[in-house]
Parts: sequence; C-alpha cells; structure tokens
Amino acid sequence: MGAAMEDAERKRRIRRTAILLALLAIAVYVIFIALTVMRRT
Amino acid sequence: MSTVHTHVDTHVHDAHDHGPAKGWRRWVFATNHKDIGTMYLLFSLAMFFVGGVMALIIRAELFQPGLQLVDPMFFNSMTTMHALVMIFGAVMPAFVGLANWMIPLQIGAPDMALPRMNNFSFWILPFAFTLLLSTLFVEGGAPASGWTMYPPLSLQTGPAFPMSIFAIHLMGASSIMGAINVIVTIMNMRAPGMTLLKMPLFTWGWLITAYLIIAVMPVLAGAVTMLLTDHFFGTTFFSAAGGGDPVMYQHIFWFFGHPEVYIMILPAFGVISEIIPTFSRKRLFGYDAMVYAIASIAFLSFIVWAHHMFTVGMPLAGQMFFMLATMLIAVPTGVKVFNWAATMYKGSLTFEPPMLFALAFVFLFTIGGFSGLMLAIAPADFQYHDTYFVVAHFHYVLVPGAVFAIMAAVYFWLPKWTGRMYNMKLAKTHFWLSAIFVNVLFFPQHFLGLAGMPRRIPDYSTQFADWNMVSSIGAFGFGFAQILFLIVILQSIRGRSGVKATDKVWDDGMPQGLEWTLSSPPPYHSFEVAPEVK
Repeated sequence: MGAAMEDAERKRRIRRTAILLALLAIAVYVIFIALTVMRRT
Repeated sequence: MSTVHTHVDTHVHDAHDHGPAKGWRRWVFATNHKDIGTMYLLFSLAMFFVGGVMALIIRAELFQPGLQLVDPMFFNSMTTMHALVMIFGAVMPAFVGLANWMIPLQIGAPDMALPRMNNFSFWILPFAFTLLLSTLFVEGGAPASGWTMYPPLSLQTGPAFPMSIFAIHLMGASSIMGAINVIVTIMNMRAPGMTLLKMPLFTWGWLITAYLIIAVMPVLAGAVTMLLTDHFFGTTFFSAAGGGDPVMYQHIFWFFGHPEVYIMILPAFGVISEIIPTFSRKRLFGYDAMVYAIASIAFLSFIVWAHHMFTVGMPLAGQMFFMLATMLIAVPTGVKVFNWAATMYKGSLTFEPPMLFALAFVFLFTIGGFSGLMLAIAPADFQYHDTYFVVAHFHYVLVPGAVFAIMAAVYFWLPKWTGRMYNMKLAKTHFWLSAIFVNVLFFPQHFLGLAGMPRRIPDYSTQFADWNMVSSIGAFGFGFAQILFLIVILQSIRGRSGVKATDKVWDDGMPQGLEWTLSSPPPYHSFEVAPEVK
C-alpha cells in the first residue's frame, strides 16, 4: 500500500513538473513576442 | 561524486519482465529509454555525415580562388544548411541520445519519466529534417541567408522560407519536450540516497542544459514566427520601412543563440568530467566547484548575447558591459579546465580512445575559448567580425569541443551499450587522424581571418589561396577519417570485435557510478528495483 501511494505521488509530481515546464516554455514564447510588439507600438 | 552501494541485485528481473517488441514496432512505438537513445544517436550520426558532405562541398569550392564547382547561391545554401544540420540535427540529438541512454542508468531510474513523450520528441526529428533538406529541391533553392536568418536578407528566400521555419519550429518542439523529460526524470526519478550533489556530472550538465533549452528555444521560435508574419501577413516587426527594427531581430536571435552554444557544450563538460577521472584512476578534483561552474556558465550565457553584434552600433556602456560579462565566463571555464588538470595530476593515466578524445577536448576547446576571449574585446572585434577568425573560433569550440566530446562519450559507453569491446587500434587511428586533420582544417582559418578574409563567400582574393588550400586538405582528411568511426561502431554493434565487455568495462576500481553496477549490455529493463545510494 505504501509503495502504491508512493507511486501515485510520484506520478502526480511528474505530471505537475512537466506541465509547469511546458507552461514556462509557452510563457517565454508569448513574452518575447509581446515585448517585440510593445517596442513596435 | 557518489559512492554507490547497491543493496539489491540489479541483474535480477521480476516475473513481469519482457524484452523488446519484434521488428519495426520496437522502434516506431519505442518507449524504452535505451531504444530511443539508440535512435537519437543513429539519427545524429546520419546527420553528421549529411552535414559533413555539405562542409566538404564548401571546402572543395574554397580549395582555390575563383568559382569552380558550385553556384554562389548554392554555396550560401550550403553554409546555411551545414550549420542548421550540424547544430540541430547532429550535435543536439547526439547529446539527447546520450542523455536518454545514460541519465536513467546514472540516477538509478527504470526509464525516463515520460516515455511516450520521449518517443514523440524523437520521431518529430526525421520529419523536421526531411522537410528542411527537401528545401534543396524547391524553386529558388534552400535557405541561403545563414543559420542566423537575419532580416531583411532572409525575407528574400523563396518557397524554402516557410518550410525551413516550420522545420525549425519542429526541432524546437522536439528539443523542449526532450528537455522537459530530462528535468522531470532527474527531479522525480532518482534512486533513494541519490541527492543532487551525488549525481554524476554528465547528469548535472544535462540538468542545467535542459533548463537552458526551455528558456531559450521558445525565444528562437518567437523570432522565426515574427519573421514568418513579416513575410506573409504584412507585419513589420523587423522592417524599418514599417516602423520595425531589423537590429531587434539580432538581439532576439542572439538571446537564444548564445545560450544555444552552451546547450551544445555543457553536456560535453559532463562527459569529460566522467572520462578523465576514469582513466586517471582518481576521483574528480573539485566536484562541487565543477557543478557550480556549470551553473555559473549557464547564468552568464544569458547576459552576453550582444557580443555577437558589437559592430551594429551600441552605446559605449553596452559594449563595456557585454565585453566584461563575456570575459567573466573565462573564470568558471578556467575552474573546469584546472580541475580536469588537477584530476590527472599524479593519476595513473592510461590512454584508451575515450581518454585521448577527452584530452584533445581539453587542449583544443581551450584554444577555442582563448580565441573567444579575443573576440570578446569590443574594439578588436571590429577587426575580427565576420571574418574567418570567427569561423575558426566557433569550429574549435564545436568540433574538437562538442563533437570530440560526443565521440569520447561513444567510445566510453559503447562497450556498456553493446556488451562488447570495440577495435581499439582502429579507434585510436580514428582519434589520431581526427586530431591531426581537425587542426590542419581549422587552425589556418585563424590566419585567414586575421588577414581579413570574410566568411560566407565562395570566392576570395589570391592572397588567401595557400591557407585555404591547407584548410581544405584538412577538411577532406577529417571527413574521410570519420568513416573509421562508422566502422568501429558497426563492428561493435554486430559483435565483430569479439571481446566481451565486463560490467565495469574499463577498470575494477574506476569508473564509479550506478551505470557500472549493471551488466554489459544492461538488461532491457534496468533498475526495476531501485538501488540504494549511500
């Protein structure tokens, strides 16, 4: 039971870390385009 | 560095163990980190030869002054495509392949954390490069404005333009997914007791590299997206005529471009830090300092980008800042080089192929580092900018730097992967031919640059003829020497070399680390029971 809980917790952490990193990448993409747009206008 | 005590027999499999799928399904639907690592490495080897042929076309044209072999436009396509193929197709996938193979083994994990995404990030690459290479056959030819794709020149590209931009987006997506996988794996899948400061330096180098990739690949994606909208949708981000700023593109590009250089070299630092202690039979000198040096280099890589563009015109304070920040990188890099030297000091050195490549890396990468320091000096850079001195500099960093580190890594871990030793004599011949010809190829380019030969030109003044001829001879020598690399690898994969590799492969005392507790080759599913690290 303990090991199963540990696995579930690990899966949850893996998913959370992956989503956060993917959001970071998308944020960098959007921010750089937004900054360039702001400089243009 | 960790001292490893495994409390479980890692060779024992449980009842659910199964081998690989049969036939093509094993590779197309691969989720095993070893299979995906192998595919990455083979793909990068293929791209290494494709990019190499392009380099030989460039050097054949430059063998003597005048236009001999190719059309100038095609020549420019070759310089552009050679760079894109080598950076995104050869060097980066090679390190991702090494990461796939070695990171789970080094941290005691059964696989990468996200195996299906791992499959996807690999299989994007063949499509991306098919698309990129197919631009050679479209009307107007392949992109020819350099890998930097500066506007307005790059906006004059024909139908190849959207194809190459889509290919770059695909490569970026693949790299980002690979990087996410590496970080998630290292942060969540380490064996009990494997604290961060016990991890092998290859894994450390990759952890920091992965953060760099996530931070800067989207910047490249943003830059090329804006190029695309400037070309097709009437925006004027980089067009002065519409109120935009072409120099802005250069800032954005190099904000990506400089960390990209470190993306290609930090895993190499990790590889060298694994190999030198093994063949010196000593623990790595200054492990903590090595980790902090990698982190420092990664941080500094974000604040030096404008040293690539001193000549576009910038305030004196800007020049001073970027010059001094760039020079600061020499401090952590120096820490690494001195620590490698200190590791070898009074060691029991032997010179097997991985160690030969690692030693050549230390000497020749340092030459590239020193010429980088020369280029960092803003007033001097006005003389060097866009000359062959720059070409010599970055090729010293990338060929006897990153590429030699990849070869060192392959020769270091190949017996672990295949379970068989390779032909040492042939590998050493490969090393000596590579080490000699790489210098014949690139060292004269320093002289050409200092004498004023510009880069990216198919023809040149006759005063540059002699050193160009020497450089081209070196290029063909280096190129043909790589056939030996292919032969050594193929022999080892097919088991032709015969000698079975032991678990530790190189020596009973060294190397240390979890990967060497496994059999050679490791079982298809390794560390299903997590080892314990003390």
